[in-house]
Amino acid sequence: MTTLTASSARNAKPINFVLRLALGLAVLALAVAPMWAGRAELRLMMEVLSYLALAQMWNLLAGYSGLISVGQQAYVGLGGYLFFALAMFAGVPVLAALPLAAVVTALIALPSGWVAFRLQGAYFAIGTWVIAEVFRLTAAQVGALGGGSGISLPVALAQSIAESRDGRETVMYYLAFVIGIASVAMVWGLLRSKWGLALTAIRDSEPAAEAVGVATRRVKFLIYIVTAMFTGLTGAFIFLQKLRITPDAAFSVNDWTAFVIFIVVIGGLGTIEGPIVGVIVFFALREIAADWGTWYLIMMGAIAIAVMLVDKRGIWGALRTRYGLSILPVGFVLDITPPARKD
Amino acid sequence: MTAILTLTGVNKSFGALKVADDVTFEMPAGQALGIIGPNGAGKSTLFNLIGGTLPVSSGTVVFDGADVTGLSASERCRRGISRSFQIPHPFVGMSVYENLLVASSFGNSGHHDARAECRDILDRTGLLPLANRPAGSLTLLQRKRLELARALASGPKLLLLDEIAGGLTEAECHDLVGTINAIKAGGVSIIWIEHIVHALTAVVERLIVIDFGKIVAEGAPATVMKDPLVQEIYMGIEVDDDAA
Repeated sequence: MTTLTASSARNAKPINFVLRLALGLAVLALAVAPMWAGRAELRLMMEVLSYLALAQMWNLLAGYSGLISVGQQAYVGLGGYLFFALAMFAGVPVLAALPLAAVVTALIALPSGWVAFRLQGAYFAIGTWVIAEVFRLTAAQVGALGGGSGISLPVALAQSIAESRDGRETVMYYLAFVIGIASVAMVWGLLRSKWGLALTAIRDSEPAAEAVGVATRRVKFLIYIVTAMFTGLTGAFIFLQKLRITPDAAFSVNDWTAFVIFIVVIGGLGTIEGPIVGVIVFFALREIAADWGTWYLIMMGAIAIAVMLVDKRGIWGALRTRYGLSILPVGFVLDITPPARKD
Repeated sequence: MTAILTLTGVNKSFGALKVADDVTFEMPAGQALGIIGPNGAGKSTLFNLIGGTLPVSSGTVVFDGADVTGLSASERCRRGISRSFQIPHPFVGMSVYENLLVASSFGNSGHHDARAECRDILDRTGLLPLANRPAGSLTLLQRKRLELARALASGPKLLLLDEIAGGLTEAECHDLVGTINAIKAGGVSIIWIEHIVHALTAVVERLIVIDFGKIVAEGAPATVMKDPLVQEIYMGIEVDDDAA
């Protein structure tokens, strides 16, 4: 019966009000985190927020546009390296180098996306991976950026953000906060617009979307570029925080794609809330199993497979359908009460 | 009379299999044209070629005075060709109203009050009470009506209907014929593929019979149905109509 609930009724459910309140309080708590959290907690939350952004972007690609990329590490690494290059060699101020690295990442995504878009389905996935490997090998060839052994950000540049260590941590935390929250806000805003209708239509049936006038290829390419840009921004931030970049860390398929896919799949592909749920579960598991060594990765894999076998819609996808949940509603509702006049 | 659609020497092959064989016809604006033929004759393929889902192997498709042969399906839709799918393709995760809203936002509708227009179409197709239901919860017959409603919401000049009467009761079929006649009266040209011949002939002025990808007969419905060749082709495949 819940699956038949009209979206207006869905929005009005008390449980959804409670969930929205919880989300609002969580955002508020995050907004003032430097006032209550210690250094270790702040660092963890920065990582959580970075992964939230990466997961939102991957979900936009795979969950809505049907573009299964296993090469998003290409843009994490590219964003990171471009940031280092801009800040160290072009003399761009650190905080300006972050968005600039994102823009240049998007420009480079144009030709590499053009190549990947020659391929369909599984071939597209493999193509994105190959592109990422090409980027990794290329980065290792650039002597000025340390070649295969990587490069560290000069202390002076790090200190240009803020003099004190606490000051830097606070600035860094708020960068992560803005990136994490902006990723959710951007996806939400996009999905509530006309383009959200197009993306959701593509998610549900690409031939039908094309048949009602949605230029599916163009929309998908645009999404590919937008996600590359935001992924690049996140990558630039991640390596600013690490203060050191190497080709293997920057273009790691494990760190920047496998974990992100895990987050989105267990949370719920094709929903905004899915990556939020997924990122919480992922980090909770990681904290619990931190000392388990390899077993931790085996457990993650087993959980991902279990979720796909039990309900491939993921945790949020399954709960949403069963209990009519919705935290960030995206639908359009038509008032169908008959007009008052009689004719 | 100006032509809304002209096909000239349209061919389509999948390897050695010819699914459209030198198809040539012209359709005046405002006409309702029926297409019949055995299963697998290439009727839906012809729709895919007109709608742009499949590229032609050779030949030209001219729509509303412009050559659209090389255009994508979405571009053709934005110019005014809309279709319903034989097997419904609803956007299952969206509501019925949102299904129409996509078509209305991206189709050929131009500047308008999308909400009012979708509401009107839902009303005419009997889907208004279901407007805010998820499309995935609809029954097969409701999904077929949604195919029609969504195609209308994209603002067609030419509407391609692919077997939307199959499975309807006599009364529902009668309602559908009324709905389609009203669409036609509104100035929309219609091509309708249908096995239920009496529903088809209640709407169309002209009938084309296709077999093995080729036009084998063409003309006024009454004349075409009397054609011995057509009677032979139809012998034994009349499962949807009078055979029962």
